[in-house]
Amino acid sequence: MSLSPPPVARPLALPMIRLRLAVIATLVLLLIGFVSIVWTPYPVDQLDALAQAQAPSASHLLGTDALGRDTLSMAMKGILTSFVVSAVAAAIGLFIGIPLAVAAARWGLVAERLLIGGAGLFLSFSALGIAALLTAHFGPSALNAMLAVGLFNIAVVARQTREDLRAFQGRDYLAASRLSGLAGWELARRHVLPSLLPLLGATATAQLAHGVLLEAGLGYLGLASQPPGSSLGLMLRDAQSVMLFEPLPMLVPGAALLLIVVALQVVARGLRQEVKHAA
Amino acid sequence: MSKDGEASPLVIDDPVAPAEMPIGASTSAEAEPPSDPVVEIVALPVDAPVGPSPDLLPAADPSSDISATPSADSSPKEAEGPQIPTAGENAAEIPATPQPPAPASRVYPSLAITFSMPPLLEYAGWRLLEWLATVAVAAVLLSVLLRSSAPADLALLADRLGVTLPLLALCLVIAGVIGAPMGFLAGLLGGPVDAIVRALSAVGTAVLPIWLAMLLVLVFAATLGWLQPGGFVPWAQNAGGALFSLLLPALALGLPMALEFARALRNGVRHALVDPWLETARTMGWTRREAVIRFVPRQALGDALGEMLVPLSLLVPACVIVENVFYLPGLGRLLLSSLSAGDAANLQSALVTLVALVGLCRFIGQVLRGLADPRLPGGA
Repeated sequence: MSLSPPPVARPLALPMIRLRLAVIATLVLLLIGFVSIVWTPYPVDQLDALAQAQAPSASHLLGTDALGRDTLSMAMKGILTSFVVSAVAAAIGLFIGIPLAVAAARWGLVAERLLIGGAGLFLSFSALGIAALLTAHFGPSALNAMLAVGLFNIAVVARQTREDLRAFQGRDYLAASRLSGLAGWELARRHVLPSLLPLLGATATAQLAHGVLLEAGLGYLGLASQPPGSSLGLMLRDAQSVMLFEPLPMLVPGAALLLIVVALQVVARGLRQEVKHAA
Repeated sequence: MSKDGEASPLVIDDPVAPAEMPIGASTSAEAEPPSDPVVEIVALPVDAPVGPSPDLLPAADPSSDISATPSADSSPKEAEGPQIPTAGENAAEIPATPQPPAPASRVYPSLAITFSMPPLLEYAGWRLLEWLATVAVAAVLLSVLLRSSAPADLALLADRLGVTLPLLALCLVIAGVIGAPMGFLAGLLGGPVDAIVRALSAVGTAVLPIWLAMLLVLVFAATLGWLQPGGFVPWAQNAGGALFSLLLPALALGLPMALEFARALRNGVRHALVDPWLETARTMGWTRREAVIRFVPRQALGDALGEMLVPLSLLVPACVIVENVFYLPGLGRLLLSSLSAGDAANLQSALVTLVALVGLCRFIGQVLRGLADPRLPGGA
C-alpha cells in the first residue's frame, strides 16, 4: 500500500565485500583461539616421543614437530596467545594514549611538543628495547611482551590520535558550536568524539595487527611467552632448526600470523576508508 | 658573518610562523645576513601561483644562514635579473625599493627542479638536534635504569655494528629501488598494475620478516642453493662474501619495506593527481604531462616519506630480530647475549645504539622528505 518504491538490492561495492570477509576471517581465527582454551586435538604440554616429526596424517592433521607435539594444537594455542597479548597491549595503548593526545590538544603547543618528544623516545626504544629492559629486570614472560608492546602502543596511538584530532580543528561546525557557547570537554564530547570514535576503532584494530607481529618477534627472541606456553613466535623458533628437513612446523605458524595480520589490517583500513567517505 | 645562526628563533620548525612574516619585513638589522639563500627560485615569477614558489617563500627565512657561500655576497643581485625580493645587502632598503614585477615572458616557468639548500639544511639541523637529544635522554635513562658500573666493550660494539649498519643500508636501498618504481607505476598507470601492487603490499605489510626470512632460506638457500643460509664472512676476510651473506637478510627486511613504500607512494600519487593545483597548472598553460612530471613525484614522495617514518623506525628492531634467523653477529646478538649474561654495561651500550640507529633511520627519512617536498613540516 505504501507509495515508496520497493528497496532495490544493490550489489555491494568491492571494498565492502573485502571488509566483511576480513571481519569474518578475524572472527573465525578468534574462535579457533578461544576453542583452544577448552579443547585442542592433543595437549600441547605433553611430548610424544613416539610421534616425533611426523608428516600430516589422519591423526595429526598438520603433522608434529621435532618434540612430538601436534602442530595444529600448538598453532591453536599460539593464535590465542597472539590475540590475548596484542589485545592487552592495544588496551594499554588506547587507555593511556588517547587521553594523552586529547590533553595535548587541549593544553596547547607545549603539551603537544612534550607529547611528540615522549612518543619519539618510546618509538626510538621500540617494543624490542622496552622488552629487553623489562626482561633485564623481571626475567622473560608473556606479561613483559604485553607491557612492552603496550608501552610502545601508547606512543603510536597518541601520535595517531593527535593527527586525527588535528583534522577536526578547522571544521566549521566546531566553530559554529563554539559560537553558540559550547567549550572544552562538552564541545569535545558532543561534536568531536562521535566522529572520532570510528577512527579510534581503526587505530585500535591497526594496533592489534601490529601487536600480533611484535609479539611474534619478541616470542621468537625468547623475550615473550616461555616454553610450557605456546606462541606462534616460539613455534617459529623451535621449527627453525629443523625446517630444512621438515618445513611444515615452520610454515603453519607463519601462515597463521599472516592470516591474522592481513585480516586485521584490512579491517583497519576499511574502517578508516569508511570514515573518509562519510566525511 | 654567520654568527647569527644561534639567534634564530625557536619557532623555525613551526611551518606557520615564518609564513606569517612577510619576507623582508624583519626590520632587525642584526638578523639580516648579506646572503641570497634561494638561487633557483629565479625561474619562478612573483605573480605566478605555480608550484612550490609560495611555499618556498617562507623557507627563505633570513636567519637561515647555515650555508651562506662567500660568493653570494660578492655577486651583485641585479645581475640575476628581477626576482623574488629576498633578504638583501641592506635591511633598510628592502621596504623602500620593491622589486620590479617579473616580465610577462617569465610566466611560463622552466621544468628545472628547484632546491633551496639553506632552509633544508636548517630543517635537517633541527631534526639532527632532535635525534641527538633523543639519544642523550635514552642514554641517561638507561644508565639510571640499568646502573651499570663497568665500561662497555666498545670494540665489540663496533664489530657488531659492522654487520648491522651495512644490513640496514642494504635494506633501505632495496626498499627504495624496488618500492619507488612500483609505487609510481601503480599510482600513475592504475588498472591491473595498481591492483597487483596493492594486493602485493597488503601481504607484504602483514608478513612477519622472520617468517619471510625463513621462506627465503628455504627457497634460495636450501632448494636452489644460490645463497648461503646463514653465517657471516667477516669484512676483512672477504668483502664480497660479507655482502653476499647479508643479501638474504636484507631481502627479508627490505621487501616488506619496499611494498609498504610502494603502497604509501601509490596513495600519494593518487592524491596528488586529484589535487586542485594540478588544475591551476593547466590553466597556467602547462600541458597535463608537464604538470604531472613536474609536481606529482615530489608531492607524492613527500607524502609517502612522511608516512614511512614510523615503518622506518620499526626497521631497526626488525633488523635486530632477523639477524638471529641468519646467525649474523650483529647488534641483535650483542643485545641477546648481554641480556642472557646479565651484562648491564653491554646491554646499555646495545640499547643506546638501538635508539641511535632508529633515530638515524628516521633522520634519513626526514631529510629525504625535506629534499622531496621543501615545505618542511614541523612535527612528524
